[in-house]
Amino acid sequence: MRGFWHLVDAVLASIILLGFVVVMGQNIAVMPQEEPLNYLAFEELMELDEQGILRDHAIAMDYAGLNSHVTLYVYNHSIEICDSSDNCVGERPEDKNVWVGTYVISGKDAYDPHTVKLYVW
Amino acid sequence: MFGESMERKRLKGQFFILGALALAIAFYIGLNIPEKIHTPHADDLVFMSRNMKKDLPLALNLGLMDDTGVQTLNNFTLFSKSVMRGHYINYSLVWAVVETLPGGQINVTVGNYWGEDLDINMNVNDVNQPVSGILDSSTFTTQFPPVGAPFYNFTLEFGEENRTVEFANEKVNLYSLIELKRGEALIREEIAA
Repeated sequence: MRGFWHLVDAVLASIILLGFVVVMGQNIAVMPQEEPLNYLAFEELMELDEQGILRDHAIAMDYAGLNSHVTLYVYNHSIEICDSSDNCVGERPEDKNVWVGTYVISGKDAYDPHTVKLYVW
Repeated sequence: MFGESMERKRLKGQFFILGALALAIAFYIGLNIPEKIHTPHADDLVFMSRNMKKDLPLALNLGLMDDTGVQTLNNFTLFSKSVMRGHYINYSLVWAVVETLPGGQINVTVGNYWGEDLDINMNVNDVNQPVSGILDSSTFTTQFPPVGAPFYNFTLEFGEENRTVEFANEKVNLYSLIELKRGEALIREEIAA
């Protein structure tokens, strides 16, 4: 009989302990936040536009030429350009953790809309 | 005697459990637990709205260069909506292209891309023109009498929105209210050019 009550005590203590650990774990375990590289990618595209580089390359669908102007040296990066008919050229990376900044242009000297995507990983 | 002793031992065990529970609660309360970080993934909404603030007026300018101003703005609106849809962004906008005709009348073309039919009230220097049921994804054109001044006030009113901007008589003016929404993240911006 004594052993039985010890067992009950032990089970109750285990339940309380486990419950405590689970509750604490839910509140303390915060997923690590990754650096938002899509911000960097968008800023880079906007900067290239400010410098007058982006639109000519985008309209010419020259993804390699545009990628060569990207200054995010610390990261791997590639460019994909799509026209209004969704014909796309460029390199879309296969890696798992890839950020993308998207920039829409209406044209330069005439209306000729394109989408430029800068992938960063 | 034996039963009494057991009762005391059972109570002792329960005190241990209660003590452990009290300690656990005290420890939990004493901890400064940081709040969970919820990222609304609104970053790209900010980027896209900045992008639109730049390229929506540019699309109109490019259209005006080959006399297809409103049509080009229309096409760019549909193009950008489709790009946003690819990013799961619900992009809604209403724009108004306001220009002075050779006779001095003020020509107003409103584009409704708000996602629903709208009753819109337009006002140019206190002359009012309410229009009911402008269909979603369509445009509506109307004219106002000449203002005879270099600047005039233009008011666009629909739903709970009521915006007034000052426009120049000598140029083609653009006003737009844009809204980008994904889940609970929402950005609303005005464009006047």
